[in-house]
Amino acid sequence: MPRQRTSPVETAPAVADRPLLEVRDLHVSFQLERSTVFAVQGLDLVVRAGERLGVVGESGSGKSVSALSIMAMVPSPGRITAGSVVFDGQDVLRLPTSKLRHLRGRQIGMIPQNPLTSLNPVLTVAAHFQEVLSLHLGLSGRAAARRTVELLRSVGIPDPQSRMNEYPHRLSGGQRQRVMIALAMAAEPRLLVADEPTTALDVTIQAQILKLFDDLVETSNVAAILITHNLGIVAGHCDRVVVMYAGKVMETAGVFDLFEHPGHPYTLGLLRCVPRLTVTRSRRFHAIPGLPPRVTSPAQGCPFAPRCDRATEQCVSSTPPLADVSPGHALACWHPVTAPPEELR
Amino acid sequence: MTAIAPDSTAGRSSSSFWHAAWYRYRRNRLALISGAIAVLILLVAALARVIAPYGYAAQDLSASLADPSWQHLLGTDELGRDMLSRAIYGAQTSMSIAIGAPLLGALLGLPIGIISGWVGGWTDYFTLRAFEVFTMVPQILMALLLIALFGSGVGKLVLFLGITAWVGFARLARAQLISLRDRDFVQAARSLGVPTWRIVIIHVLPNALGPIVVFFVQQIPATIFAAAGFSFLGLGVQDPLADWGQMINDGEQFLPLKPLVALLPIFCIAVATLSFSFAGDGLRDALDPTSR
Repeated sequence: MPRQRTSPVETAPAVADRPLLEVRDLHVSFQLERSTVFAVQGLDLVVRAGERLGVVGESGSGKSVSALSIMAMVPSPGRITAGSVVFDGQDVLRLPTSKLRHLRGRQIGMIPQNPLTSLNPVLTVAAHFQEVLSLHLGLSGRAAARRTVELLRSVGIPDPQSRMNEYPHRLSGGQRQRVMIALAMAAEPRLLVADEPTTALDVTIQAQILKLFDDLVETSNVAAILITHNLGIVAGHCDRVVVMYAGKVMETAGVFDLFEHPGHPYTLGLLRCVPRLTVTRSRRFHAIPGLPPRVTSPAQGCPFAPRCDRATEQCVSSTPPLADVSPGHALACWHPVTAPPEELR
Repeated sequence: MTAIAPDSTAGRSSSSFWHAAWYRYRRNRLALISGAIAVLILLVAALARVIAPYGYAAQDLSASLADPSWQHLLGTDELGRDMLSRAIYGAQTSMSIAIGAPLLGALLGLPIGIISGWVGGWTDYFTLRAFEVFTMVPQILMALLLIALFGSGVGKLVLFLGITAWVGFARLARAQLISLRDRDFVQAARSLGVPTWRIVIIHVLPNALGPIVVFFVQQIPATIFAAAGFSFLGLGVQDPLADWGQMINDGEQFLPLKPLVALLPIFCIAVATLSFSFAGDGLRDALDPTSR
């Protein structure tokens, strides 16, 4: 089932240490009628070739908007107000539309949040593939059909030869997400952006889809950004994690480091929210009090301060910078957690 | 960039969509019968020259206002012209206008609506103002004014009713495009690098086609009515060309004496408008995307 990667655009060894994707100080805001929502405020991200990056945060923390920014696809009335997105040496935000088209789908593949509505109801599965294969690889006719069958088989669609001629509504939710993944992988992109790929699916299907995601990433050596609100998913399927809150990076670390030594109170809060079957029944289900803010003014101080039990005057008055605490582990907090509570051990 | 082989994709996808629609349409008996009658009327109109026993202007003054006989199956009018033949040629006139005008309206309106709905912003703002200006003057009055200024005839009726019909098509296309442009599959197509023109033509338009076809068919009876109305008033098709509205006008004066002369064209208009209306309703139910 796994296939060999045969892309002609393999990164040359000389630029191997240059990150594949580098997002610097990204600001995205939505100009509404009466207010401005600052969805992303100074996001920094780095993804290296073949790396799997998890982006975690509650709803409304700017994860999806960040993902769309990477492909310069922020929906109106959203606007990228500052910052840069550099993919393999080219500034994505400055590319003309004609160049962007060859980036989207060809260099960066995207797995959408809702597979049920992401396939065109009046086009067959095969038509979706033909389009992408023809646009990016110049395949058509027999060659495209053969490749479609291969791709569908690689994502575990049974009997692809006949299933590819069906309309999306004949496929189950899990199968549709498999099709979306195959579509995103069709032109052999170097970066895969998965925006909560499993939220619309059953739990049992979620596991299958994530397993598929893992297999594909491993066999094709594609870099991936996995956006989720579920730290459990990050633990099993990512190498590095970025914790986002209110459009900012709160903490970033290797996945083991993060789970072993969570530094930011918000990360700790998220970790405590993960239900555990092994813990005795007496332990109450934990929740972070309050809701994530809807940021309508540029932040002053730490955005998490109002919900944080460690917050002080300093947290409210000045914004903590994202600073390294150990190699590869950075966090933005004035009062980081040094010893995680016993319950997480 | 290579264009996608048009054969397989487009052909297969549209045929199955219409296949499902036909299945639903078939189960609606009223729509099925109306549709059959509508098609029959279209055939009669197209083959008028072959079917009609006499020419539309062939006079036989000795047999004026004759009763139905083997010579003249439905009698003759005051000038001794065969009523059946005139009704058949009348169908030709009516159908040319009833199909031609909405077609022109669609050709003008759809591109405007598509651009307006897709682009939005200032383009949309100006189109909306244009809609308002055009809807301010009722379509019939507008056409009436144009007829008064430029004269009448089949071609001119098509032109005038067509250029006043664009607003409906533009409005519909705009609404469809707005509701479709932010759908997930459009976003997904964009994320796969599909160029904008392809997204509009291949991904969005086929999804909007159902309502547009329905609207088109529903425009037909309205146009038959409008055209017949103009002819009845003497503003439409001119003698000796046969038109149902004008035939009513001719036969009206003999109503107490020879009711058939006026009733036949009335019956034709009624059957044509009703069958196209019911066929349109049937199409709407069959193509309604919410029932899919």
